[in-house]
Amino acid sequence: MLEVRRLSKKYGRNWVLRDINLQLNKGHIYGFVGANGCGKSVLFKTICGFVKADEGEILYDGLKIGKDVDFIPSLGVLIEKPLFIEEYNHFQNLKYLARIRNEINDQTIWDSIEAVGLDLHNKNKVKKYSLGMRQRLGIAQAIMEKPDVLILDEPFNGLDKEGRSDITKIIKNYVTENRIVMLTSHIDGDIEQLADTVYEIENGNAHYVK
Amino acid sequence: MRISQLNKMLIIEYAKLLVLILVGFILIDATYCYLFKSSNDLCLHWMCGTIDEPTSTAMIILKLLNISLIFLYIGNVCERFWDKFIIQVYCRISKRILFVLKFTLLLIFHSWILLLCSHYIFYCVSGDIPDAIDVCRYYLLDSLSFCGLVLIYIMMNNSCIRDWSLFCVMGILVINTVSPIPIPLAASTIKYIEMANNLGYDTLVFSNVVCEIFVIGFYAYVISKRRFSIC
Repeated sequence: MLEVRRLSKKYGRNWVLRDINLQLNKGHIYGFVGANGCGKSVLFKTICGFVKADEGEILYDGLKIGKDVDFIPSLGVLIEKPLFIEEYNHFQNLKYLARIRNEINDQTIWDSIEAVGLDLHNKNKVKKYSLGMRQRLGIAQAIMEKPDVLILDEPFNGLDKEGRSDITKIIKNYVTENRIVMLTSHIDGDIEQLADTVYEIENGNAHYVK
Repeated sequence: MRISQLNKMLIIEYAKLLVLILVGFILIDATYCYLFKSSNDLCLHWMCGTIDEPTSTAMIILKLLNISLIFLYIGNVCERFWDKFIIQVYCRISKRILFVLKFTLLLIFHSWILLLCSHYIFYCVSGDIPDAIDVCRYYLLDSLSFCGLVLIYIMMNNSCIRDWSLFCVMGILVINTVSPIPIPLAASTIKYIEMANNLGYDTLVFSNVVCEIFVIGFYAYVISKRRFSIC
């Protein structure tokens, strides 16, 4: 279980997140909606442990993020625009990232590339990729190691109709009893279709919607 | 994540920029040497003057242009990798501080290599290669001070004054070059060497090292306390 207790974060004098309490159970998809700049990405970065919270705490399976562990132990992330090594192709980029944990083989990497709908035979460097292709590759890197916590910030950005359908299927199939998925989207339909529970971020607070 | 992996990543991603920086060194140094070819002890212009030929604006510009090319590379890496790519790395590692340490060491190492290139390119272009011991002494002073400057630049690049970080570092170098009392942190001028004649080279190196230790300590503090946005 992922628990957020009285989480607050400020930049300068401006409180971006204020007193947020969440209890996220495994086996569920959680959606977060809100206006641009409301703090969705900051919330995700803070939950992951990338940004230090000013107040409150985050617990994952009893481990305090930032104290017991620096980051959530089994984590897949796509936050904001994904960035890759421009001179590498899709496989080389994913292989490079996979080497850090060294948990998966080449076939698993190819499977992830295929799952997100990228052409397996495309040897182009990432610098030649369109926004949608980069987004698909970003999702592939997030899911390839089958992490227990998957965080996707605006995963449908830049995707065409077919791409959105592919990614929706992937997210639905991804959730099992030991996994948590958190996602945001500025398109309400996507979130309502996918998420079991929806929160709205407004004025730094998270309100339960569904 | 191994440091060799990180190194390979940076070299591949920034190969073109690194080549452009080396070409930049050659162009800047060749232009300077062409303009001041009649001067004696041309190689000492690199250290911003001698007792006979005091520091001139041209010498300061020469030094600043060379150094700014190195900081252009470091700034690019900080902005692009440290700020954005790092998220994909962080979600796959467990020890943040260890990774930040490796990345910092790698950046300092790269900046030292570029600094060494800038020194040797100037000596080669000027055709006036100083004594090997002098070269080592100059480079040691420059590289020692450069370590602290790189750390300060990284800290500024990750703080709210990011847009001004390059100007701030250049400001430190300018002040050091024109000030009658050199700042040990930016010791790269002949004035420093001149002081060495009075104070002793070892004393100056020692004071430089003490300065560096303070900067490294401060850097370790802000990293451990997570004062930066992402580090």
